[in-house]
Amino acid sequence: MFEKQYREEMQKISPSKDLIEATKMAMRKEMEKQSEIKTIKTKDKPPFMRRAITFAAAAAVMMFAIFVVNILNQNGSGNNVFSFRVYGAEMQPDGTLIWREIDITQLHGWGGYYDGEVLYISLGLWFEFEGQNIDTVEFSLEDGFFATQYIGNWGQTPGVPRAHVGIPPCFTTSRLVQYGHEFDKVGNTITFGNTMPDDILLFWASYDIGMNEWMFGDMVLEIGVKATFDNGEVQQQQLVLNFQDNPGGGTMWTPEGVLPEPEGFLRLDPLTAEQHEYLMSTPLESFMLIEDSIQTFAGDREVFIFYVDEDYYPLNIGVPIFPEYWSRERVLENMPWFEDGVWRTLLGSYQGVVYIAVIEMNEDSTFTGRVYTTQLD
Amino acid sequence: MSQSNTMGSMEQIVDKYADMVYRIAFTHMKNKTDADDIFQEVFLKLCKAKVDFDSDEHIKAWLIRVTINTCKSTFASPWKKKMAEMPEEIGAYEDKLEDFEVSDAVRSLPPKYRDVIHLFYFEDMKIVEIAKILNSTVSTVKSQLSRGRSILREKLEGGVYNV
Repeated sequence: MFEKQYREEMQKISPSKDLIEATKMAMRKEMEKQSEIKTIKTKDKPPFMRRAITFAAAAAVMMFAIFVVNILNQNGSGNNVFSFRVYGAEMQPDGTLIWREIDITQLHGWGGYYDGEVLYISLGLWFEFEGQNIDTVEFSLEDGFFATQYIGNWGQTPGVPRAHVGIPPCFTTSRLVQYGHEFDKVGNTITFGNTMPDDILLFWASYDIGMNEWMFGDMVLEIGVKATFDNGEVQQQQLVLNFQDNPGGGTMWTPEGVLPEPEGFLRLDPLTAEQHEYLMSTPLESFMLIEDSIQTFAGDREVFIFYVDEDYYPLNIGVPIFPEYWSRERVLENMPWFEDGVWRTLLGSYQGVVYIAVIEMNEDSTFTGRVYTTQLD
Repeated sequence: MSQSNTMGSMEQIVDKYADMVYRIAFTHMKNKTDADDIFQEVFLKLCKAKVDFDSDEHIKAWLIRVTINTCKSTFASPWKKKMAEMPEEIGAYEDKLEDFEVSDAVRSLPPKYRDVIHLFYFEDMKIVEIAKILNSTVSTVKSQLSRGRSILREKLEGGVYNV
């Protein structure tokens, strides 16, 4: 019914004949222009010019071949081998931070900040560059720019809010992605020595997109990495960070007054470690089940939708927000975190009312999703 | 099928894919004026690109991808960001607003769901093909399709549409 109606409506939308003719006319002009350029290049030159051009072209091909061989030599031989290890700053139970090596394909979440003008997406990563004789390592972006946050004495300054991302049960050791709300805008390249300073958090930033465009976009960042060695040799790699295909949620902060569209976001007020522990370990029977939220999924359904009335979730200062759906694939990826076939996560909280999402694997390998709620003291 | 870049072959491509390009552009831009601009820009890009297409599917996929990217680039410009606040218009298609209830609901979806829903339901493309065109993964497209359906179900609640 939907499909039929959609087709009928879309059939009514088509370009006008005038538009099609005008487009063809513009294409004709473009092709004529290209044809004229071609004619000038190939026919209107006197013979000696054509020979000169042929010679120049041959020389250019030779130069290019030499250049390519040179590049291959730079990348494929010699002692100058470049690679990097990636670390995330993890908070320990005592509140201190350590850098722990992580798999860059398993980022377990992302963090960001939107001030109404600039969107900052935290990489939350520290790079250790490996290889002998590295002079500099340059990160570059085609879109957006880099920004940094200074975390000073390992994030121990009192009163500075910080955000972490991770998936249960590693909440207490999750990755630091934001430290306060001060940013240094760097530019579309940032250059390090043979190691990245360990007292900064690195961000990708942009004036061109907002929170929703990020959330509903590809959520993929591509960064060019160029290592220059002491002898001038250069090696390049492409670093791709895919936040969408990772199993963790996102944490986005906004200053008060910046209210992006709430669709797709749920609010989670900051909780203490004790509150989190209580919510994650208390028997579910102690909480109130939201009957409307119960959904059972077999293999033919891909997405769990946790239903909570979004009207109760205005965004505010220091508010992490999470996508409200988990794909079956994502759930399966997180199976190690299931205890006795039941997995739970905090879905959102507002003014002390907390929502807890639960996914349970049934005996027939289907899943049941449901939401509980409780009021914190 | 190697398409020589003759005007004749270009015009054939325009005739064959005009509706498809225009509908994707309209679905993104939500108004006739911008859809017209995108339409012209896409086919001019076709002229300039000199792509050696090897099949009709190749042409179709190229046009879909370029149309979506051109729409996104237009929205990314600071000028368009300001203009995007203006009310939507159906333009020349103002038969009756209720005539566009379902397609309006699709157009109001976030872009990543909108593209997937349109390509799946209107262009009859398979999830694998959509994933390829959108440079995405099959699982992501499946999730987006399912999420898009779910949002549509909520938006069209009260209607008789079985999404």
